[in-house]
Formats: sequence, C-alpha cells, structure tokens
Amino acid sequence: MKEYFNTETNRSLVQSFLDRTIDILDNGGFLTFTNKAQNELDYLTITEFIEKEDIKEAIYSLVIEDYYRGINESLEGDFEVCAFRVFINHTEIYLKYGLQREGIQILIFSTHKPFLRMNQPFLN
Amino acid sequence: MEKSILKRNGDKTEELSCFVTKKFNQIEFSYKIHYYLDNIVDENNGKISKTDLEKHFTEEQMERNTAALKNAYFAAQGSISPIEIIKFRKKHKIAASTLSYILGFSKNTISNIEKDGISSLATGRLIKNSIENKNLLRKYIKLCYKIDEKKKERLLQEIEKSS
Repeated sequence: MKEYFNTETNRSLVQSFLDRTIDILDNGGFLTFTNKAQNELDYLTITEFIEKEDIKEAIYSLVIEDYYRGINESLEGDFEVCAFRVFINHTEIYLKYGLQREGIQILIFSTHKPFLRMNQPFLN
Repeated sequence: MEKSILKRNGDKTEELSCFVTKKFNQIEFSYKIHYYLDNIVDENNGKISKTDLEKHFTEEQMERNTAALKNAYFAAQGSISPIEIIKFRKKHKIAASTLSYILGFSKNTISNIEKDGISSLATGRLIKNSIENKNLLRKYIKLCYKIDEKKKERLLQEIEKSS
C-alpha cells in the first residue's frame, strides 16, 4: 500500500477520506466485514473484549494523525482503501477499511493487533 | 423464512449459515454463524473481483455471530447457554423475571441473557451451577423475598417433580 508523507496536500487527502467516511455513516451507510476481518474481530472479542461497536466508534473517532498507509488516488479501484493505527481499550489495533466509490458500503478488511511497528507519518 | 440481504451492487441475496469450529486459549468450540456471499474486494487495490465470491457479514450478522461466539466459548468453559436457560424455564414453568429474582439478579437479567447472550463466564457458571444443583435451587427459592409463598410452593413442587 502507498504511504503518503506529511504534506498539507496529503493531510487534506486523508481528511477528505475521513470526512467521506462520516458522511457515509451519517447518511445510511453501513459497515460490512470481510471473512478475514470477522475472524480477526472474533479473536479480539475473546482476548480483548473488543466488538463491532468498538470498531465503529473507533472509525467515528479517527483523526489524520492515526493514518498509517493507503488511499489509492488513481480511481482504478472500486474502493478507496486506507489503514490506520488506533487504540481501543488501550489495545493497539491495525484497522484497514475501504470506501465504496460508487455506493455506501464501508468494507472492513482488517482489525487485528499489529504484526510490525506501525509508523504514523502524520504524527510528527 | 429466508432472510434477504442487499449486496453492494443493490442485488438481493439470501442469508446463509454454517457451523464453524474455533480454538482460543486451548479451548475448542463450535457455533453457527450467519453470512452472505458477495464478490471479493482486493484489499490492496480496492478492485472488486468479477468472479470470486466470499463470506461477508453485515453489522446485524456480526452482532448475532459475536453473541453466538461468546455463548459457545463460555459454554465450553462450563457456562450455561441461553438455550439451556430457556429449556429449564419452560420445563419448570418459571418466568424469566422470577428466575432472575431467585438467582439474585435484577428483574431483567435472565431475559437479557436469553436475548443477548451470556455477559460473562462467571455469570454463566453461576447460573449453571445454581439450576443444576436442586438443593441449592430449593434454598434460593425459599430465601427469595421477591416472590410470594404460593408461587414458592408451586416452584418447589416443580423442582421436586424433576428430581
């Protein structure tokens, strides 16, 4: 996945992704989980008591500084995909989801503890 | 009746279900999940596959599946399941609120558990131990000040019949 550097333009790009997420959720959009994301969330439910509503709340609370990787500007994909580093109940989570370009689906691809250290290019 | 779900392209599809087996913390258990099929999306480039399908889960299905997951995980560790509570209540003709009071919970606890699932392993184990141990259950019925004597008598007779 592409990783954007900390520039004003890139920050605007991520902010626009986050704004669109909220717009979708506030206008009847819905979260859908892939099979992988569902299995990962099952693990978090058992081990960390993190459930779907916690993921939704985390998405509502995302800020530019949580950005990790992603967003495909080329318009080739049917979804814009972006990954974030978030903390839910003090647990670090790699959260990756996509916004349907021509629709209202927010597709959750990943909800797991990070396998690697996650840089956050917009944090500093 | 089969449940209909809208896929991302607006087409209707049926809800499907299957049993899955999982293992967490050395504990293996099985439970039923609900899902629907839609075209796979490549998480790296966001492209929708034209041919390949995979399981997808709506928010509502996630809630049901998570409740089933927790129930099964707790049951595998000695907790009661919501179905067992319902069967017990039907067999002994005990209202959910009455059973709540007998076990020392607040009025709606048992009906909430039956609807939403077991809230914690400790709660599930306590309920199981209480209703499987007839002596303990008799004691709790006798001690319960929130139900009248006539009802207590009937409940004690019901428990006696099944002993």
